[in-house]
Amino acid sequence: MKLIHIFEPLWWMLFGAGGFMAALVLPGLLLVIGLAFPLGWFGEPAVTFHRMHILFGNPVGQLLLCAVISLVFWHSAHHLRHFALDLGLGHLEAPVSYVLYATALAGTLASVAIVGAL
Amino acid sequence: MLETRLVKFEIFRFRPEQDEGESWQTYEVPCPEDWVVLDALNYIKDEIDPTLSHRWSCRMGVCGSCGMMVNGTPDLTCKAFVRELAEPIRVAPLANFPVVRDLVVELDSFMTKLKSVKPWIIRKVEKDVEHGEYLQSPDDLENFKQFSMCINCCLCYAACPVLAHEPDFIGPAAIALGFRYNQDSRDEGEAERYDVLTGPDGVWHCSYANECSEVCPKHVDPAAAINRSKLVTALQWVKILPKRGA
Amino acid sequence: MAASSTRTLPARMPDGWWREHPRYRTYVLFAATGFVLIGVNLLLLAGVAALSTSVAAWQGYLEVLGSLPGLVGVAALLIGTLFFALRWLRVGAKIPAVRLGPLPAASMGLILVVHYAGFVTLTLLIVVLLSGLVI
Repeated sequence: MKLIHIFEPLWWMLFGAGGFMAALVLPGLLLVIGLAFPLGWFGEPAVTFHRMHILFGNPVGQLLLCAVISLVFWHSAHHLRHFALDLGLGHLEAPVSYVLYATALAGTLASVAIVGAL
Repeated sequence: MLETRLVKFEIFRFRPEQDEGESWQTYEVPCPEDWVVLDALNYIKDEIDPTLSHRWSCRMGVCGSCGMMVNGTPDLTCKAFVRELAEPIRVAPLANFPVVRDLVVELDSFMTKLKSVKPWIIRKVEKDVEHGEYLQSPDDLENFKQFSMCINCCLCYAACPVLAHEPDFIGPAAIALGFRYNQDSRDEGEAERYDVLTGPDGVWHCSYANECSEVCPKHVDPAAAINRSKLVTALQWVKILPKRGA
Repeated sequence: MAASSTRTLPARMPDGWWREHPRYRTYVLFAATGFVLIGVNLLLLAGVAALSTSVAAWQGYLEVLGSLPGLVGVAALLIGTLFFALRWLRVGAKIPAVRLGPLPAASMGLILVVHYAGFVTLTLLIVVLLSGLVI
């Protein structure tokens, strides 16, 4: 059995956890950070800057944010792996999967670094 | 007397002894209002063109023989009403299977896959008849009953986008039946089915398009079976759940 | 498998299968939301990076998002994310409705209600926490 297949339950669990993060948490975050903040509904940039630091500039906030972002990366990688199969790239499944999961790993490390610096 | 209407059909043709590849043949069929596509196919065969080949048997959605692509969607032709379909009605053999002749497909691959999941009750030690039956509660039955309704019509295989590219994927019906026995309180064969169901051609191939469940004429919901099987397997993988019969 | 004695046509899906049927189109769009979610992640990480830099950087970040192209991009990501979330929660409700060890099987309807309630609760919680009403 190929290495990629041995860890299928792991890929799927990361996919599932990330899917729930994306479905339950991302809409709210995107609505506020992408829309409400730029349009000034929830205060001036200096005010929202301070508020974001209070909420996410502590270990608990950082951990939560990191978990959401990195799991969503893993979710997307696995979902795009299936998408690649639908597009007829099945003969390249192993390399495509490794590239996608390596990207998710890079995303995880980047989110740890960026959120950790907050 | 029911009103009869002339309906145009475009039928997929392939006769291996004379045709290089596929072609489409048009027939006009006088269809009474209550006809299904299978009635029209039988009319073509009996009255217009005896060379047309198609499979059918029970005419009432039980035998699972008459599955075909009707206007691009897998359906049992015995329950696809002509009056509900857009014209011309295009009838083709089930997708994702090799075509033997006209509307007849080769099901060998499915039979092999079906057998590979051991869809029967496995006991470590068989109980003698004198010791009585294997008791089961209504709850135990409810746990798998829906998955035992499969009639092996293979519509789910024709609908599955994964099978289009991965012909070795065990596929919806076979996995649903394997899962059905894994969920049966009388069965002890989960460990024996594990390698096939969770191997490289097993449940992990499924991308949960849910199309198998959409086309299933018996509401088996194979997509639920496949993805529940993933959940159970994942929990067994992290040792939260035991494998029955291991 | 025994080799077939008759010549057969190879198995295939109908040409353009995913374009022709609405359900397949929905499925392929759903698969493509993988790109949308990566986009949301990158947008959030850029915001966090701005937060760690300075108020001015944060202000610059919000100005980019508030510009017309920024708003169009955010709206597209938001629509993609909502489409993902609703299909995920609906279709995904089937999976946990299974007996796991000694636990009885939960009903699919109940799981669906829990999924949607979770979505509404968490979205409201995030909006309220970040709105300034509490802190």
